Amino acid sequence: MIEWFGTYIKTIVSFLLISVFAEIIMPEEYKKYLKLIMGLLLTLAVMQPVTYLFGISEEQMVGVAQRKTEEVWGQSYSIESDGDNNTIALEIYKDELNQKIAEDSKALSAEVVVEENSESDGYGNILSISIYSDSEGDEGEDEKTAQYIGGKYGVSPKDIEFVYK
Amino acid sequence: MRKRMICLFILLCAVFIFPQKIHAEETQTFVNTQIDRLGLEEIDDTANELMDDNEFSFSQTVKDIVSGGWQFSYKDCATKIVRAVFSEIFQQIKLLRKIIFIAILCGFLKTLEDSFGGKTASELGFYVCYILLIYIVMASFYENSVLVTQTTDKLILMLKEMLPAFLTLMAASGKVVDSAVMGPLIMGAAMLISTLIQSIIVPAIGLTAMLEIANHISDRGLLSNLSELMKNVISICLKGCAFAFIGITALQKTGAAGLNGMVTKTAKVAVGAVPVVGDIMSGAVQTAANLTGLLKGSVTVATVLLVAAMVMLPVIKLGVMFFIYKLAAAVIEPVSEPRLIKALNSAGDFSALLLGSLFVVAVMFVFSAIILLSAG
Repeated sequence: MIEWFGTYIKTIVSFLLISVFAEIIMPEEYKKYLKLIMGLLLTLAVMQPVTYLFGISEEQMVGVAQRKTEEVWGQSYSIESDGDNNTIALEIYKDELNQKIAEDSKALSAEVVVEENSESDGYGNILSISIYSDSEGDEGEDEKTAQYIGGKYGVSPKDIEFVYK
Repeated sequence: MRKRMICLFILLCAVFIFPQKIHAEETQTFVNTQIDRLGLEEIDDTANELMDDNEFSFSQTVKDIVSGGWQFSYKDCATKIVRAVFSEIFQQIKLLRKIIFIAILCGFLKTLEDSFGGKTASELGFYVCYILLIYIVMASFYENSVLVTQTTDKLILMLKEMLPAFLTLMAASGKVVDSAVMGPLIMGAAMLISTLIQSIIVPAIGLTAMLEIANHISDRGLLSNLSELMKNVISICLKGCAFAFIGITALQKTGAAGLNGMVTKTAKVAVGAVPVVGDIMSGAVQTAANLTGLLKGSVTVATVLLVAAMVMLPVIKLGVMFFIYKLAAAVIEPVSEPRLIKALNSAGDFSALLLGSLFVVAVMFVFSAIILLSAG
């Protein structure tokens, strides 16, 4: 137990030292951004035992962080309920999603089931994902991938299934 | 008639020709035999192995106290302590000089580089000085941690040696059931606390010191509250340990009080049932128990003295370190960076925490002696 505590403290101290030395090197205009980012990293490092206690795995947090950054920097999908172009847009949307998920999970292909009722609030939300892959992966890898994809695409990990050919 | 006279005559001759002297034993020799039976010489040997100076002899002190011829001169004791404190201070003065030198150098560097090199260069100069200072502080801190661990080991070893003697005294003075119950309890609790302190608390103190010192590197002090939290957790753990040990030991004693009396009474009645000499024997047993009770007080006093002698040197060392860090922080304050001063202050605080953990173990030892050997 004391080894875990030692690793924890050493992680925090290394982050602190990195942030201090990065602050010296940075030019003036970017110092405040660096302070913010380093502060967030430090908070994450300090919160590690708390997140462990609440059952949030690290892969899930990384997936969530990536999705949020992509939303901010712009790769968001906006869909208008246009009538004619609706089905075409939906098909393109599903294709893009399949491609991206297959890339992210390093699998052969993926298939998503999406909420297709244009009247409902959750129009476009992913309901479930099936991932087709070639080789038999092990349980741990599958779980981690499921959590990562779940965090990134806003799906609960139990709605993700793996199919082996 | 003649036969009876001859028998009486032979009997009288037998009685007066082969006399044997019997007498009751004197108190002093009785007590001395009891002390020898306790086997205090082994405790002497262990104590002399573990401590450096050979002036203190446990069994001799107990005998002296019982016979009433023991002198405790406060003046002697005080002179010894003061001499130890001053010699320790003179040894640690070198540390103080190094710290003050580095801090003054840092102050100079900062002023020069602010005027000549710009802010970045002065920051770098400060970091170099800070790292030097941390190196010195951490080296002495590590030595102190090792000292605390070793002293805890010694104290627990002494407790293991003395426990049989305590339990024998307890049983001999009538508290039979208590001694059977307390023996494993105290040994188990002492081992538990010693392991806790050596393998969890002392490393945790070192790691938290590292965190706090790294925290003071940057101006903003990003992790002050986290290290404050950890310090509080550690001190609560220490206090909780001491309280739990004392509470459990004290409560356990009251549990078996009734049974003691029962066992002793049964033994006395059984002895008294012997036909002719039963009364005398049970009276003698009672006297023996009371006399052994005399010993308990003197053994308690000797134990307290022994613990004080063992623990005195490390306590003085840690106390002097604490004093030196705080003195350095106070002396440097006008001339140097606030960050250096905060770092030295926190180093002093952590020395105090180490001192506290050593005290917990020593208090635990003395308290077990007092509880086991309390009269009545």
